[in-house]
Amino acid sequence: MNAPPRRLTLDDWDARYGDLRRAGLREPSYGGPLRRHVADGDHRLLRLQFDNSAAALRLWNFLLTEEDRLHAARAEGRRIVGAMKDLGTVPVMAYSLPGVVAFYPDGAWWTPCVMEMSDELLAVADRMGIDETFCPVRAMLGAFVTRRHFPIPDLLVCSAGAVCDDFSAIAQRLNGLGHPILWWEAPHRSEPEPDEEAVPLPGGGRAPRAQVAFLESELRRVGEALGRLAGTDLDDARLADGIQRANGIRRRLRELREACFTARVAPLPALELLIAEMLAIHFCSDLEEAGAVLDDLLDEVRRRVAAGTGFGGADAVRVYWVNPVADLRMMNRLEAAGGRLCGTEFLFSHALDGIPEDVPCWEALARAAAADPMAGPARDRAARIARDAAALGAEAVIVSRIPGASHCATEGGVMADAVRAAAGIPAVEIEVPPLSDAVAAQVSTRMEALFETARARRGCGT
Amino acid sequence: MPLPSVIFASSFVPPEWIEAHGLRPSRVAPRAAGAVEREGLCPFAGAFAAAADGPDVAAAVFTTTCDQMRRAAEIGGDGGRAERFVMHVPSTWQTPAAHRLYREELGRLGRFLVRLGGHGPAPGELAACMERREAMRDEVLARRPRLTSRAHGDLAMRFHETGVLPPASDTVPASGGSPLMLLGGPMRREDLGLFDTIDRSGGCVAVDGTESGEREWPRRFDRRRMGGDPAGELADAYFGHIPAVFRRPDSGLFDWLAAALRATPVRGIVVVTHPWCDAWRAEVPRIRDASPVPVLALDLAGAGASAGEGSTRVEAFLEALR
Amino acid sequence: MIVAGVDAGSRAIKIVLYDTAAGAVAGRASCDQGVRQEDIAARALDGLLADLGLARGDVARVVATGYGRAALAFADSAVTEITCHARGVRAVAPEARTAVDIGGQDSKVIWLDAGGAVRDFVMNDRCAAGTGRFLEVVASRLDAGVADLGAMAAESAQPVPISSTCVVFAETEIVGLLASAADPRDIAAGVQKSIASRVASMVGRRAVEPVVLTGGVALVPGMAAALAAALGCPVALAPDPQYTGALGAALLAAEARA
Repeated sequence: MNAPPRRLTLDDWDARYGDLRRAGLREPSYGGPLRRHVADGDHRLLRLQFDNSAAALRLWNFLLTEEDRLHAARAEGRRIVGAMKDLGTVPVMAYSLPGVVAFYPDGAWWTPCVMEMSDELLAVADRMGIDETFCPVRAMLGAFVTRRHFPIPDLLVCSAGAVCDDFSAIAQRLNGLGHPILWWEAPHRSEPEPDEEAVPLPGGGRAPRAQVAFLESELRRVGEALGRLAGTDLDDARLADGIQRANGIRRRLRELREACFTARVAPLPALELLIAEMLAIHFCSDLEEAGAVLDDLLDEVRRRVAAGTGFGGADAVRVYWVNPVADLRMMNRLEAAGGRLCGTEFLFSHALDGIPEDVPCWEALARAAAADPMAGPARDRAARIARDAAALGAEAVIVSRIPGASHCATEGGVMADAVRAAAGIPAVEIEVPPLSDAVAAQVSTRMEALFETARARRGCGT
Repeated sequence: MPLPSVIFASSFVPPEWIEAHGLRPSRVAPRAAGAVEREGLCPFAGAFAAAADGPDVAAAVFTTTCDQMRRAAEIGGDGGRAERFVMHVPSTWQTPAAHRLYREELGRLGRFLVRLGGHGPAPGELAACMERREAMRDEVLARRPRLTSRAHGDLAMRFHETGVLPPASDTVPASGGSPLMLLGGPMRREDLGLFDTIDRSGGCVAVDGTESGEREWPRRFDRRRMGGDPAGELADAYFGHIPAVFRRPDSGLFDWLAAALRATPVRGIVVVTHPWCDAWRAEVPRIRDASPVPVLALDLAGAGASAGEGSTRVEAFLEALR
Repeated sequence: MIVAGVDAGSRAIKIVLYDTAAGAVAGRASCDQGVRQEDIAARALDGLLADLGLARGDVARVVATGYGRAALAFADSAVTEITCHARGVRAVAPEARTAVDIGGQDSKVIWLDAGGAVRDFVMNDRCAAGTGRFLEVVASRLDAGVADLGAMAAESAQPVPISSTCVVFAETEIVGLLASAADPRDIAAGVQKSIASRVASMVGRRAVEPVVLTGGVALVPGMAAALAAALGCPVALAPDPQYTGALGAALLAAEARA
């Protein structure tokens, strides 16, 4: 069952799946061969390379069956919340209530990649005037229009304010189509004034007390709406329990990340690590199962670390990766070019940091929301990235730009400059569209050149 | 000695507030020439970031009314000596908390202005500034029928930048062409060429609903409240009134559109957007749906809409309206 | 020992043969890029070798570089153009600390350490606004050759501002300028300035002198001066700038054999 780590194509996985079954693989209800998702239209799987572990198979199956879970939830009478432009706050509240399921409609931004555009979501958005000058998250609008993916939620909650304009504009169009949205304000995180009380935030930042208090009032307003939806109050006891359970997921992810980033040889491919981290945002619509999936992965990673096995060898260039990629294949390309992950910042570092449990629960959640890297200046985010990259021994930093995303026009340069200046680490920016095949050569050149530079610096001792 | 200049480009920064703190407010129409240019960067944001590095600027106030402008505060900064301040303008408006937050942000801006060398408003000073500015806004609107679109555009821009109005002059005749409404994002100095194009093509701007125009002016001040709580009245007149596209939801914009079209019959609407401006570009189809008159969407790409393709489109639009 | 560097760029394939015993370039050639680039490159290499009285068997090692490097199966190894340009610059201008390469489809800025190794680099975005492609588009619009643009620009009294950051938009802008009777010489100068400005924005505040310009676009008269004006510091032109990458590849081939 526990074969040495290897990259598999989908064809390889067909054979591997048979072997695992014969060896007694026990699968959850959503289990099965990866191949079946291709029949559902997930054609990109044919061009990806996967980890060969049973834990990775479970992770992929969990990810690719989320829509089934949501439809089942609807059939069972559970209430569905769409937590939009929310990287880890509203789902914590939603999963604190009985009979409520939250998901992340923005996650549809991966659908054009996974389905290799066959779903036409971007074409639908195009026809609505939301063209390629917008972030690929415009696919979400298409998903609401076609109704062929997730069920229409019972309640849509969306943050506004210090968020990206792309999503805000797209959500407003959705609202204009007749979908009611509960908006909550995420203020721009400002530096506390000299005589202003500062509140420490998860991850090491700080915010003015007044801003945290404002956020708390906004989250309480959302909590009241969620309580009405659930037919029961989201009281302190429920929220405290929900925070504990969310922290359980975050703790597992931190352990997984630490094990992967500090291992001499990368024990898990970059692609599977990216997918695993995404579970932090909304738990893939099942918090308990997300924990079990992560436990399996963590066991596998620990086994490999103990055995000193993994991917790319000890010579692979240690790369700190910034921002999620719209095309999953890019993570395969990182390794093909000779790199491995030693750190990531996928725009939701605040969803990986533990929510404080030593302060009142609403304030704790507000502090976590205030730590959102998108809410603050790019230099805050850049400083944390530079610090983490240096601490994790990064030899190179890749800042992956999201095409059309308003924050990327300025943020990438600020972050790249920060890691160069503060940590002396070479950095490149790349732009990754949902299907990056056309720019693959260009991106590969950047990566290879970056890794050549990093390797040359090894020799110089710089 | 001239007062230090505090520049801004958002309608939600009340010039009265800066003036009452003893500093010189200047709502600039930044120049396209010399703007910071980057893939994906809104040209207006790039132009304002460059303006913030201007030689006579003591401080630049950026706002969160758009993400590009918020982040533009982090562009440059080493070319000039201007301080930079980011003011959060809430997108939501339905809750008392949002109104309180705006008021608190005005307070934070005020403390910043004091640190910059200004002073807290003396009794009656803010109210006096509010009265003076309101009278000038009235005057700007009153002069529109007697001026060409371009001349009026220049007048409004000069008023916003300097806070003063030149003596009234009726020497430039109004064009009397097909009345149009302008709608959309803020205008750079070069974008005023669009007014020329409209004048030249047989149109005139009857309503300026761009972010540089009167749509984003505060409502008339309540004189009774100005006496007791001028700062509260100022905040309500700006935050509680301006129907901006970044509001969530932005239903106020469409309410304003319907009311403006009832109040001032126009033959068509020209919606101007900058490349990468998500907020306006996303709403163009809804504006078309909501408008009883034809709508032209015009991208203010490059040096502005006055030349080349932009000019042709405006001319063709006006020909079609006729 | 003869080694070869083959730079399969987007517009042209450049080849340098290097004689390690003599410590000098033995020959070089270039030809237009095409669909079957491996065949084109192989023919050009064989032609150059024949001119020198050599054959493929006389070449100890071939290093390929450029965007088409992976397609040249006859090469012994492939190295990115960043590393190759850096190596080439180290050979022709060892004092350089910043190398700017403006090629046909992309441009890059490479920062070098005192030993000539790559310290850091940046490349342009997908858009070709800061590249030779921009010059080609403009030359076509102005009914001129790319080589003529420099002379035209030199006669400009007032370059027109080209504000678009995208070649496609800029082309539209240029059509508008021509329609408004702008002087083609001012347009040519404006385009040159625009390319220089784009490259300068890639350099940012990190121009470390001396700065050296390489790549095919460097051959356009006035380009180095435009870049110097945009950067605010002197810019030296590399000798035979279009061959810098191929030379670097050849030198890396020689070092690999050493």
